[in-house]
Amino acid sequence: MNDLREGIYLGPPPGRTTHIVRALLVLALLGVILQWVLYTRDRSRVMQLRDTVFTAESDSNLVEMTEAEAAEILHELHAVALVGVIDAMPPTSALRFVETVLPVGVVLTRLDIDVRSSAVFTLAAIATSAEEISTLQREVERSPFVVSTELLEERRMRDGQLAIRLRVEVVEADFQ
Amino acid sequence: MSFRSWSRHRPRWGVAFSDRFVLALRNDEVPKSLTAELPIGALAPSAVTPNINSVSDVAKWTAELLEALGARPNETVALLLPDLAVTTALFETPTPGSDRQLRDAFRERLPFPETDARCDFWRGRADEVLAAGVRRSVVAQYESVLEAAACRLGWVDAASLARLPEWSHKLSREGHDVSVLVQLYGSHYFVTAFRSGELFDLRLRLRSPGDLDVVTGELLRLPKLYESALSFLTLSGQDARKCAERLTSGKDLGTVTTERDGENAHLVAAIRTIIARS
Repeated sequence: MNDLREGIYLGPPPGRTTHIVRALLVLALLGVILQWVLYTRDRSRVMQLRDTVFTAESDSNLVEMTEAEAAEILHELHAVALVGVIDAMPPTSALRFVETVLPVGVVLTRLDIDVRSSAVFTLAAIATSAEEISTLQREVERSPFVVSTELLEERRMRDGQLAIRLRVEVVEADFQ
Repeated sequence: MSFRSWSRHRPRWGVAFSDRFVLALRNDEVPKSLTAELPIGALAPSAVTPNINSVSDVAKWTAELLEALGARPNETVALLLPDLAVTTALFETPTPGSDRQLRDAFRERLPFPETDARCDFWRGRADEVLAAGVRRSVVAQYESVLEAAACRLGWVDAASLARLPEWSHKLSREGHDVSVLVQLYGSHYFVTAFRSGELFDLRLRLRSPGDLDVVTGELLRLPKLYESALSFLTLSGQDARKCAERLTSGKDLGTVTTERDGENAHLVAAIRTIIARS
């Protein structure tokens, strides 16, 4: 019922379409706000990193910075430069890791890095036998940086070889 | 020019229909209005039967008026329906129970099937409720006229109901005891009575064009009917000034004033009210 400021309205009632459009607009607005929050958060991290680098540059006694501190800054800079996302795993780190655990005879065909998550990648490989796949899994799990593995897919191809997809979760992006 | 100032200065539009003419308004800083006389029988306001003989003809005349005022296609246009196309009722305090019961009580008074009604309610300061209903097939004709004239529909109200909230608010603020507002049209008039801003009487009466006796006769009887002298009697619309002149010597009518003389001027004020609301 109308309040005092308004009056009688005899026009068509707002249709269902209007409600749906309004709901979609609200959802879109929420999405924009979320994007803005994430952008602001990432931006502040970048600014923080920039300040750290500037401070280090302006510091005349650079040698006072420990090797670990310098490596950490460099790693973060690499991550931003290579992936474009704060805290994302640099592809080079993942590749270097896979090189170290890939058994002889197993061919790496694909490496997917989830940029939304800072510590998950999926590798696809082709092996000639099931033993080689077990070896690969064992080698990966043996790494102190690996939290968990999950065999997403294992299938035999027409030529008799085995194709697998393995999801690997590591401790953090700079696990190297 | 900033968006806000552009929006404020953007002209807004309204159309009112009567049985004799169509009135279009460009509500700019200086409002401009134009009317087109309708042939006899082109529009016959009724709450039950279709009102417009030829929607396309009325749409053509309406479009011409709007175009002459400088309207572009797809302008949002407020629509003022003739009083006789709308069924009204007043529920005085205490109103019947819940909103649902109120709706049911009003629907019983409609002269057409309730499933075919589009209704709305306005609750006043003292909880009195003004109810209005229009038959869908009736209002659809007026909406079709605007659509055919390449307009978008804005606020829709009845000619005499448009300004009642504004009046109620004004009278409650000024604290008059019993005040009566009479809205005069060519073939009918609409009397509303307020007590300290509370709407307590509402009556729609037919009259022959130019017949003042029937109007003044009824207004002179109001103090007796209400068992109270009036504080103010305000007339607006067709023959308002002539009526006021006849009533100045009336007993217990209070201060008799003319707000707007002429049906056009009265409708322009009503359209401006609903444009401001939408």
